[in-house]
Amino acid sequence: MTSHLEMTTPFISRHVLGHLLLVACLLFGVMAQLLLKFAILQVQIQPDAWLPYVWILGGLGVYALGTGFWVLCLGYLDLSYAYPFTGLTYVLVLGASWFLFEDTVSWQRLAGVVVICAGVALIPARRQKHS
Amino acid sequence: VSLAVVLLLSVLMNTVAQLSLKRGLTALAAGQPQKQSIPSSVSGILSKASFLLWMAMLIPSMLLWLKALSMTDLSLAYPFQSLSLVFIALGSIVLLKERVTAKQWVGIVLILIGIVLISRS
Repeated sequence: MTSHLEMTTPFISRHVLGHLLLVACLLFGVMAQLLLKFAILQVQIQPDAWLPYVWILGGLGVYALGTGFWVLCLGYLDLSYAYPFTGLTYVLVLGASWFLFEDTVSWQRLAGVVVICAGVALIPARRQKHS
Repeated sequence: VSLAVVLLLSVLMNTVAQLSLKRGLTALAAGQPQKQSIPSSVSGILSKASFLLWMAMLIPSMLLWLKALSMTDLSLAYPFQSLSLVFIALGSIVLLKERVTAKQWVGIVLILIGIVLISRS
């Protein structure tokens, strides 16, 4: 489905480019969530200011870029290989919101995130072998 | 409105949005001159409808997501996004009559256990 999105890559191998896109997609996905939460906190502190709404738009823009990187990444890597890595975003978001927003991380929340990661890793279907 | 309703509705609409985007891109690719597995007029209508549905689902899902973030911690809300995998799995069983492997069932159950743990935290 994504074959028409492939680009020619004269300087780096398709393998490396696929992994770079995967890392970019994960980081942008996490950053988008952090920006959106930051923006909402600002809105709650100062409801009349316009700047927090710029942060929201920024967060949505970063989210869109992350989605774009994901679609491009699937032109180079197999979905069943790439998908499990998206589970990492749950750990990254947990760590970052503990660090930046001082979220209370109870053992239930930590265990929940670890269990979800494992679940996400198990779900993608292997590509069907056509005979 | 309760947080659970906002979160579930947001993730459900986001799931439908993702699926319609995929469908739209697939239809667009299928009608391209070098492929032409379906007539380009059919591909045009299919992809247009899918992209409309994509936007119609994505915008309210985003607004609901912002609402959820205003109600609770990011570290509590974000893991609920993983429910979209469960919705996709259930949807493909019920609507497409697809089989889900034992491994995938284990994954679904793990995600649900994780959601329960997090919603109690």
